[in-house]
Amino acid sequence: MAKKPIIADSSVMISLTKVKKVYPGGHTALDNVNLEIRRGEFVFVLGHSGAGKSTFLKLILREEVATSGRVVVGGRDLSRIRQRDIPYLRRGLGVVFQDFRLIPSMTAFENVAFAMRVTNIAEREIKKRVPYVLNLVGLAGKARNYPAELSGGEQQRVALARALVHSPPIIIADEPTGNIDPELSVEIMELLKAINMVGTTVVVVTHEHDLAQRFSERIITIDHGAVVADDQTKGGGAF
Amino acid sequence: MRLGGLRYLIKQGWRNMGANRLMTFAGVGVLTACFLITGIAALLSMNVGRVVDHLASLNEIIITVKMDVDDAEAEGYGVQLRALPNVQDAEFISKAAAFDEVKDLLSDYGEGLMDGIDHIFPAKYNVTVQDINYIDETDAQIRALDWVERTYVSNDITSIMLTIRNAVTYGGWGLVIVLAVVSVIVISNTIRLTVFARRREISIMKYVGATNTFIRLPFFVEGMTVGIIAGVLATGIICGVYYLVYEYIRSMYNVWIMSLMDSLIPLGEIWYLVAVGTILLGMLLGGVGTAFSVRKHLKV
Repeated sequence: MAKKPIIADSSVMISLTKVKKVYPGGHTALDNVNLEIRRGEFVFVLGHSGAGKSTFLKLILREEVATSGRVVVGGRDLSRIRQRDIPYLRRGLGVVFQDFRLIPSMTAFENVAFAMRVTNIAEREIKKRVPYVLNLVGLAGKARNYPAELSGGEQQRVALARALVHSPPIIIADEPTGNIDPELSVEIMELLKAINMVGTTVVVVTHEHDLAQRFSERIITIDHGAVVADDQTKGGGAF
Repeated sequence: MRLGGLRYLIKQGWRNMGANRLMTFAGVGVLTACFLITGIAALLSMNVGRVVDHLASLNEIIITVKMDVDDAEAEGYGVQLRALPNVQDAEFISKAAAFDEVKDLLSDYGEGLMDGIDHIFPAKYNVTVQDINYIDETDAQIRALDWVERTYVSNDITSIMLTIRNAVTYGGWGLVIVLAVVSVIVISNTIRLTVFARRREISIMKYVGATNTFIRLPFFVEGMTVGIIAGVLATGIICGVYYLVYEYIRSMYNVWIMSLMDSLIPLGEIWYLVAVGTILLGMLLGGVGTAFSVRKHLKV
């Protein structure tokens, strides 16, 4: 039996308290960041290049550790999490990247199944779950296609299916529409919205202000490593 | 880990080998060469050791007893000799037996020449030693005995063989250590290139929650398989060459070589040692080499 993700389904899914991140070279990427993302929210984290969005993501994924302050994901304080528990934390976070990060030598089915195999799930379960998730993202007929045979939007949907395959309580999308056409971007955002509708917390990190305006209920704007706006309805700060 | 997962990881390791055919081939080739040199050095060392031991068993200290000591008294001194450290055996030859020995040697001439002469030769002891390395010390201890006239030690060939054995043994071990380090570097580089080629896949694995063990295992399978293949190839080549050399030496009708044949080790006695040693070494070095190369890329 595969070990379960270690994040709990708490009312506050992501919380940053007085978080500061200074890289070894002395660059301060985040400074005194305080924010809370609650269960079931659809949040855009908006900011231009170098604003601190990537560092924010790295802290949540526990790729980096905060220099000071507290980062809590699904009730787990990430500064106290053991190194060997990090994989189990990540199993509770579905991640979608701008460059899709699909393995070119694997079919759409294999790319999604891969995420299950690495977590040691039985083959029988994989054969049931992967077609279901591919169907959810509208790629039931493309399971045997390789990434090179798919459009940008379709590749991103495969990536989304991979992120969804563990039914994570949180989906994090890093510039998910950065490499696809505007009309396909809307499709991807609508899929994310649909995922959010069933209770999954969705965090989209982007620099595309218009997209955020159109889809979000909440926009957190980061600039120069600080949260400069947190609009709970729509709009966010200008940058 | 479930059996299916383990099977998947092993298959992944083999798939990597196929995907990086050229590096796998290079790794197997260099490792096989390393194992060949190591195996040949080890076999040479074992055989030289056996030949030296054989020569040592033939090597004797011949002692002549003072002429004024009669046979009965001289035979009694055998107890003193056998009590010395490093003395394996002491064979007594009386004055009469020594006389007969010479007489036999002279054959027909001895009959006429030695008629009427009685016991002109001293009694002797032929002493064999346990450890040829200490033959000089044993000789000195014997010479110190007051009933001993003189001793003869023919240790020239033995000392040459001892020098060769020591050179082969120390040189062989030195070679084994150097080649083990070379093998680890070769495997390490082979795996490092595979890891580098798959760094994107590894980073995806980390993001979807793969444990370090899960990521490492296919690389271990790859490293160990490269080591095992090199071990099997090296075993085949070493045993084949050894058999041919052994048979060639056996076919040489040279008295000296024929006398040494008994001390050479036949293939039947050592092939499994070569196989187990080389294959285990391959697995071990494959594992160690992999451990060195994968660590860096796991820090995501």
